Amino acid sequence: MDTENILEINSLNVYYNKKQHVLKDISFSMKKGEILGLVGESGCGKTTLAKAVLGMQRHYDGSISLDCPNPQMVFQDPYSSLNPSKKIGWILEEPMRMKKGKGRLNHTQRQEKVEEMLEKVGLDARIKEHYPSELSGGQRQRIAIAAALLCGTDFLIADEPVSALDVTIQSQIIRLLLKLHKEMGLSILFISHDLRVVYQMCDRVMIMRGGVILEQGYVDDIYKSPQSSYTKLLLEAANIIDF
Amino acid sequence: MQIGKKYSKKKYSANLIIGLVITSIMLFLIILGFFYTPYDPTKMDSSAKLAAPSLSHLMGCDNFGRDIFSRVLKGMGNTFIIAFATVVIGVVSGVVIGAVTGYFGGWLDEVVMRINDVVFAFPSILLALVFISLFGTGKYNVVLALGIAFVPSFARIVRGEFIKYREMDYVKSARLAGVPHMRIIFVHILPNTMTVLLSSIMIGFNNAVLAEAGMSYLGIGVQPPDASLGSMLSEAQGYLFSAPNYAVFTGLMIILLVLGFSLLADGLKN
Amino acid sequence: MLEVKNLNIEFHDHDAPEHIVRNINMTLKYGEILGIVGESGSGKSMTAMAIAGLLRRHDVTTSGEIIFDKKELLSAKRSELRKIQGNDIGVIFQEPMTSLNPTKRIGWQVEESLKIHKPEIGKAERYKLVIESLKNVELDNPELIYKKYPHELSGGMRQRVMIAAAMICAPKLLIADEPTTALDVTIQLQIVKLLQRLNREQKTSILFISHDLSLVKSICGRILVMHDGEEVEEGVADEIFNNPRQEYTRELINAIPKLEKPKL
Repeated sequence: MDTENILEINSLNVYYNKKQHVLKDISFSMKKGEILGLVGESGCGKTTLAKAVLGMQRHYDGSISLDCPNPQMVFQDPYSSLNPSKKIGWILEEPMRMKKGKGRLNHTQRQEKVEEMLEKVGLDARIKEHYPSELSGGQRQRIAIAAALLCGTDFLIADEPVSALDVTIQSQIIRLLLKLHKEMGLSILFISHDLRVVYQMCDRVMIMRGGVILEQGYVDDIYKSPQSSYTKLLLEAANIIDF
Repeated sequence: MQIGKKYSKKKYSANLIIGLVITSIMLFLIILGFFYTPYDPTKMDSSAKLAAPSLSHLMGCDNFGRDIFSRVLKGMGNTFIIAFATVVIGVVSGVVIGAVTGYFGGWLDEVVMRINDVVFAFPSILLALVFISLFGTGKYNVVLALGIAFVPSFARIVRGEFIKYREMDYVKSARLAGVPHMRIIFVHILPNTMTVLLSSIMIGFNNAVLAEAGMSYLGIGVQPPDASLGSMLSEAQGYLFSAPNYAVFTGLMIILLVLGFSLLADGLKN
Repeated sequence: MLEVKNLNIEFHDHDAPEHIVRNINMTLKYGEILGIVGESGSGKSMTAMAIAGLLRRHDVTTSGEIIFDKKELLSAKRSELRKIQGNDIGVIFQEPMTSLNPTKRIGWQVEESLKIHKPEIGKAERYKLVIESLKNVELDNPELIYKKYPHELSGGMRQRVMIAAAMICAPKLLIADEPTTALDVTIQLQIVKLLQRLNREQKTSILFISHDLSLVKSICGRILVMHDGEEVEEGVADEIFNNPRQEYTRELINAIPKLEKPKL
């Protein structure tokens, strides 16, 4: 594996049954500190690919090498990604409670870390005392990002993180992710179906359909001269065919 | 900066308030019964056989001349303890079985839930009768028998909730953060099942009160001269016409105990 | 054709009444497509539900006037309202999964409003009309789809079935409440094109509700922008886009993802 890469996938295959593929011959790599876009419609295998990278997919062929001990994920639906019976402060402290041995922090140190992180994601520290049901979708998504980062990871999979949000909130979350990417050198695998959002976020992009990667490359190249007819259709749908 | 909306406190429902009042009065009487009764509940007074209610005997006396009020106080205590212990056994084992099978699924779930179905197929009283005939009568055997009979219904409820919650994104997040399975089950998921669990606990408690009364009525629960509401009701039926106060007051106590908890459960659910 | 005057909607399901919609005015001409844009919680869906007559509930009070085809709907009798619903006004919702009954075949669901509003039509002719209307929403093999259940269809196909069911009585007004939000982008495009074609060919007026300003701009002639239950501004789509008068509209336009890297 190239030491500059954080993720390398070679000829990955995942099957439903013997005949049907969920993912077929997927190969790509991701550099450290890169934001890679993954575009495709629902059911194209995006989520299966994410699961495979996180080690939640048991049966597959091919090789997946990930240079990160604790990859994290931000989900699409901010309403099911936070435990409804716990306060925000508790949710954010939880990953730090799991640390054993020397690096273990006591309650006050954890609180400090939580407050630091809340400031980083642009939230008031008082939000610790609230329950998820009291927050807006955008606030919840910020909390989900903060929780992922408090695990101390440098690799994040963002699965449609802005699709369930209003447009005004979308742009705020995108800015936040870009800011964190810059400050902390995060590598992000950014899954989305909106090519405009992908353009704002990513350097490179992969277009996926039916479990196959149709094309991958730099965003500018692909948007200017799409190779597959499906990519053209996507660009038309996003109102950017005349780019 | 406005952080989020704090929901205005909901009005308490009438059910909750009435239930709370009845239940606390009953609990007070039960606790009182442990420390003080106007008469010794087992002391017989041949001159007061089947006496009508009066100032000296508030609810009258039974066929042995024992003070019914004193026996009701003691009997409620017995009934309550049996029902409570039954529910504790049922809930604790039900939660553990339901949580583990619901969360992990797979063959373990299949096997345990099929056994559960078999136990569930028998009426709880019948199951308890079989148990009693094998291990003998007595307060503790009744508790154990009813407790086991109550496990499957709780296990099912908890399992259903866990199946719902294990697919939630926050459970996946917790896994990714390295939280062990047992902590996810008991710390992350279990509190979310509380609303559903709480109301079924209350319903289960009522069923246990009625089941104890039924078993003592059949003569296999609390043994004389010790009192329980069920055994007293069983005795009272012989004097339904000569001393209706005996059956009426005992029955009333069962009704109040069950009604109080039903209303409380209903109120808490909302 | 449609005129809404001083519409107010209040909810009473909590302790304090909540004012969801305040003094909304709008007009819609025959054959026009009007877009209502706003974020979630702006009251846009509630306004549409009021027009469709779906807010007759004990915990909701409405005031103002909704005049549809010279009839006042807010104070109309339920029986009169029922004659209009499904016949003159059709509604499609965001979630094509829940807006179809999972236990009934597609054909049954599409012909339902025909049975109610045009009972004089015979069975054979009704079948013909349903097939025609399924064809009209560009579904292949309408005979096959007639017999299928909702779960056998994809999201895009279900939304087409919804449109077919809403259009079968040839309504004068079609209310489309976020009809594409739950769909993939490529399917969104198809549904939008379908709605545009129906509007052009059948002269159906459409009330198009969405949070996506760029989508609304591509389909609607005029736009009404709503925020917190109040009207922000209203006017011709291009004009609003090119020189928005209100700060909030400007914010919405700026939030549309553009093909440029955002500055941090």
